[in-house]
Amino acid sequence: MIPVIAKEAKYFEREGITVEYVRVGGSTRIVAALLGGSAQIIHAGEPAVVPAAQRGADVVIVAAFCNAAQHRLIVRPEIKDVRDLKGKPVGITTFGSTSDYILRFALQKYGLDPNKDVSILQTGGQPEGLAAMSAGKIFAQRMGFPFHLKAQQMGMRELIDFSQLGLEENIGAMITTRSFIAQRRGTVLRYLRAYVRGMHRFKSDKEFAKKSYGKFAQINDEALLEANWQEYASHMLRSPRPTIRGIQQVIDSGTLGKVDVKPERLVDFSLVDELERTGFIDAVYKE
Amino acid sequence: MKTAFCALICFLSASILLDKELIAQERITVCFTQAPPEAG
Repeated sequence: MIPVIAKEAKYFEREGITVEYVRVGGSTRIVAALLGGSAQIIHAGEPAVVPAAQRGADVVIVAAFCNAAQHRLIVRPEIKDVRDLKGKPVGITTFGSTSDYILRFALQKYGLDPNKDVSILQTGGQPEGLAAMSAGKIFAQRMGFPFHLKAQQMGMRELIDFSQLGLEENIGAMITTRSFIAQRRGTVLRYLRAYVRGMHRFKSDKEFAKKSYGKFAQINDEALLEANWQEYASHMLRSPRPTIRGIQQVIDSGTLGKVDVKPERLVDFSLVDELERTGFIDAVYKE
Repeated sequence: MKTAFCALICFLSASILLDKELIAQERITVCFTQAPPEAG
């Protein structure tokens, strides 16, 4: 979402970067795109990055615009409790993705075994999951803004708000490789500068943020755009410093199996540090 | 006539500079997962 604002406001052009955005369903697939060299930067969830790092892949989180988990467990209207999902098909985008981690976290928290008590189906993405749920092919899937609002408009129910469970997450995480940073640190830094300007513009210019996001997401519903803005503006960080705790929670959840990767290995704070040290972030907020 | 000629030279110079500016832009590909709710 923030890159969309930054692009619409021409902050990347201002930094001398032409960005081509490609949508890929499911965070595991876009990690593959990064490691395969199809993309130089990705925006994905850390549940996809942790297993990649466990396998020795060169992935690193550089920034995030929000640290409060923004997930909801969306279910079909007949589901009143997590335990009602026993014996039913439930959706995730792809195995190992954020939606996989969140769903397993919820099922385990309410005493269900994700490997035995439900059948997990890959839907490919949140929109596809919503279509599958609407058609009765799955009974639950993790969704974020604005999909969970759209789902409720379509008659689905919000069963869990994960921010209430103390979950942290690197929302909109900007991820690249250490080798790309080594080769083109200036490019990554300029992308991050545009990203920070996008964060500030989102929070300070509501109408521009709503208009830009609505255009990108093809949403005309004013209530949906307003709710989306309210949710993210209230949690928007001033400096896009990633959360180590959020990564640790993913590792500790056990949903990705045994992980022996230190969360610190997955984060490079040096670029955010540089923007803070040089006064760039303060300067943006004074503009 | 002289003024028109100067204006033309200025315009051409600006165009060349603009082209150089565009060529100097770095291109990167960025992937993300989010998609419009209607997309599926």
